[in-house]
Amino acid sequence: MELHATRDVFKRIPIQFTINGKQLEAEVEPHKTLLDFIREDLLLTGTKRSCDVQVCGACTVLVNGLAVSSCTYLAFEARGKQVLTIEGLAENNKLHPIQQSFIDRGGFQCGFCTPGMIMAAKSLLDRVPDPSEEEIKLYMKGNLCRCTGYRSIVEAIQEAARKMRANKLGILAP
Amino acid sequence: MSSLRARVSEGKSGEISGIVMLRPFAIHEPSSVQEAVGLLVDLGQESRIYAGGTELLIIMKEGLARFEHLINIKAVPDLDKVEFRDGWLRIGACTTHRMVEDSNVVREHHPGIAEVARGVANIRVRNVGTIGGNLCFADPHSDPATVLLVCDAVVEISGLKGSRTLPIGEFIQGPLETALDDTEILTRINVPSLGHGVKVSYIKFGCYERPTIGVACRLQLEDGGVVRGVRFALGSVGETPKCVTGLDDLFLGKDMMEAVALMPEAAESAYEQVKPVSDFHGSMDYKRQLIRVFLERAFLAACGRN
Repeated sequence: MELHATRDVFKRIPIQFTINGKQLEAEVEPHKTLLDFIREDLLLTGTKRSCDVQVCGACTVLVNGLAVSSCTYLAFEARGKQVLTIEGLAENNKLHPIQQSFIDRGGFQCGFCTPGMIMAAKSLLDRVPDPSEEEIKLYMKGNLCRCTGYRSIVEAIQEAARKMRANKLGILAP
Repeated sequence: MSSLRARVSEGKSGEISGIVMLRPFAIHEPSSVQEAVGLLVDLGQESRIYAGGTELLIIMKEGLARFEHLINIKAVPDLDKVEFRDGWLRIGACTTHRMVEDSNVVREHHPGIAEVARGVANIRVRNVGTIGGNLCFADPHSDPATVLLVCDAVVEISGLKGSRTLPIGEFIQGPLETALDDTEILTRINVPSLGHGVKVSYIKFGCYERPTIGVACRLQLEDGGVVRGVRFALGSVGETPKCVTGLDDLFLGKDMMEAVALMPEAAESAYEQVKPVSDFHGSMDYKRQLIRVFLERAFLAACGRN
């Protein structure tokens, strides 16, 4: 039986993409997941590994504005795209309205699901600036939380939606 | 015929065996369907078509199947186009559920198909997973095929000997089993126009990631609100989604209330035809009850469309 280091046999794929606004060039093994790349190669550990089978949403990142399960999204697929992780939300040391709302509304306890929740919420609010409670629940259905019971998360998203709409209009949020 | 069922560890696509991680593989990126077919031929049993990977990569992570070569079918241009032409809605196999949900073309000609896409799994799966991949994976607990069945969808397949078409009911042959042979690729799903006044509804239920039951109803009412034609498909309860046959005479000419009164009888017939299996979603008896409830709800939802 011929033994060889399997990992060396399969060609790496050169990729170029933007992560949190910064251009990046890398070479990735075909089977490397975006989650592993983000956490291990880029040392951006805000994105969490939880179920590892795309069910729980803790690993949610945005690729070209769309929420994906980074645990089941191959890293090479990010080539030519814009990736946004939780670390990329705050600007000039100021938290994003969604992050601030989660704090103000107590939308987390242990915090493990929270980066995924916030990224999913961002993709929702970017697409639907004024979602109904029903729409929020349906959209966020795939992000699981074992601590909060979800009520405070929904309220945080609603408050963030209000603030973001107000920011757009240049007025103070209620 | 397709090799996936044979490749997956016996019995349980939900069972985790060992460490959850992807074992190494190579990626191949063909620029045409022909080239992709050629790769399937050359690489043989160690290769598999890969699109969104939302189902394939999961079973590979769980160690239930191993492929050393994944053929990235997304590299082939124009397999994710949606168009309406000559009376048929044509959806490319690489169209994501999200694209199907958002497509104005789909919403106009087959709103039921846009609606079922909206409910698949979760938002992340919908953004990445493709309708073609979903049909080729053929997990019994899935949504799109049930609606496509009731809409008389036809799939387009490309292989060594050229292209062929197949009604969706013949394409899905069993759990994780399709009519594709090892060197064939699903390229498009074609759905004929609904007739005038025909409405399609889909109701699903379950508390797990995948649905426990899905019922599609295709309904045509006459002006007086009387049934002119109705057809049901049941998904997720049996080994494959199935159209329920033999109910046309039962419902023909009945108004809504009469039709609802006939649901228990229709549900019994549906149960006999589908032959649900007991699995962790529930016992046969539980599914029999679900069929009874959701057949009626799907019917009422279709009526509500009118």
